Amino acid sequence: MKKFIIIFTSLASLFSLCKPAFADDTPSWLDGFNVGGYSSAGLTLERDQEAQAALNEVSLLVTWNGDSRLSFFGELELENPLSWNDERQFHDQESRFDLERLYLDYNITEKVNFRGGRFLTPNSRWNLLHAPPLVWTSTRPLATSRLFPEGTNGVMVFGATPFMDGAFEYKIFAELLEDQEQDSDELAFEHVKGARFSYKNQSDIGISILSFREKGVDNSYRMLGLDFITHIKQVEVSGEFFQRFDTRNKDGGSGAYLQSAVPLKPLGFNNWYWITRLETLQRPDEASAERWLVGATWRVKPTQLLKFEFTGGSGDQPESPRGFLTSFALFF
Amino acid sequence: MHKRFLFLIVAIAMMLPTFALAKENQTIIAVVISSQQNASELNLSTKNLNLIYWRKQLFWPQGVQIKPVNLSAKNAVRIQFSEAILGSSPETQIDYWNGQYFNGILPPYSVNSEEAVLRYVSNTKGAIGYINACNLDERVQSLFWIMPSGETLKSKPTLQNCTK
Repeated sequence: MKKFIIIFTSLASLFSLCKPAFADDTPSWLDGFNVGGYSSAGLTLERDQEAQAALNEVSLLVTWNGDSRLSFFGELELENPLSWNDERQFHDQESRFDLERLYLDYNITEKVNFRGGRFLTPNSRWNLLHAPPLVWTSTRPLATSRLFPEGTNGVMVFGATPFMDGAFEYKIFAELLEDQEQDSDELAFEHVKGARFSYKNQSDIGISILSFREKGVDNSYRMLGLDFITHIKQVEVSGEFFQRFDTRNKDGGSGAYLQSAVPLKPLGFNNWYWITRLETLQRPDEASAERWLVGATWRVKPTQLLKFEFTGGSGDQPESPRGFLTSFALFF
Repeated sequence: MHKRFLFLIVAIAMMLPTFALAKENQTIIAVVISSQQNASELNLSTKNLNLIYWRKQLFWPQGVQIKPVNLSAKNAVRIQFSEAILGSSPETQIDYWNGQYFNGILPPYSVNSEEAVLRYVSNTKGAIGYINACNLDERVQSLFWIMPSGETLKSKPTLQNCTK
């Protein structure tokens, strides 16, 4: 554990010495490095369970953009570095390193780029922006983690082009290498390929198509995903819907969520938002799970969120405990 | 009664320059690149400018990295540019830039003055910026003109009220 911290701090201090390239400086390849990251910590009072507190993760984001068509991005995450509960007190037994993302991008033309490496599967808005400082709630909608692979090792072609008054983006990808290591609670997938098309204007909408095989149940699926985020007056409304199709014409499963974030400024609570979410998940041969969530989130700073939420519903899902959760998340 | 009417007239008259000033605060903006750069090679449209400032298009057609530069978030020219080209004010873009940061993409470099924009654009390969059209000089060339109405022009409009 100590070793990990030393590596983390050494890397962070090494890269923080690098500064952005200015016109008057002689650029070196080191000038293209940028290092940042995010972290979150929280307290969970789960129904019928003991209280738990944890430093959920410390993630390091490293980017490199030289003066060429090539760029690099990596995310190394230290998961659950420190946990506490009544029984085991403070411990780091669930602590582990995870290479979340590691890829090289190459610009082919202004509208076509190539990516090779490990990246987040681009089939859900939440999956692509899942960092705790970016989302209003401590828990993730079940449908965005229990129906498809969250990461893919492979290649992707992507780009953007102007369309009407907004930007049309595409991502077409295929897996080349299966995950070599798997968490015990993680679903395993293979032969992943698909595409995502999105349009950004005043509202963002996305459509994803995906094909993969789920190892545990030994079934192949095709999946359709739809997502959107928009603002109605000051209220943010977002949602996603996924439908899987079993290639043997059995029920493939489905899931969805709908969420709103209402600013509480008119009530005198500046930078506070009232959060409401409804979600559902149906996996083949499993009982369906429904969740409701109400909570309040304070945007302490543009890069910091303090969240409080109550979650209820049916079905036990370790990713979405029912009860009270609070957490603090920040970018650094 | 007569006095009250007079007072009202004076009050309205005092407010008129304020309204006029509010309109005058909106300037004609010039979108600029270095005067050394061949503008025709860039094949730039206003719609591409939207992609460039959202950092969705990162390279010029010849493979040179695009280096967009912004004025600071509270600068009136920045706000006008942002609303005309990106359709929103800088303060409402926080979530978007946090999301981009998570994916390794940093927002455009930000500077505090139009002189700094001129220096950055003229000395940095691949740079693009914007300034009040009255502050144009020989170090840069203008590709577009953004009118106070939000309309974009390719040809130079008549510049009024430039003090220099």
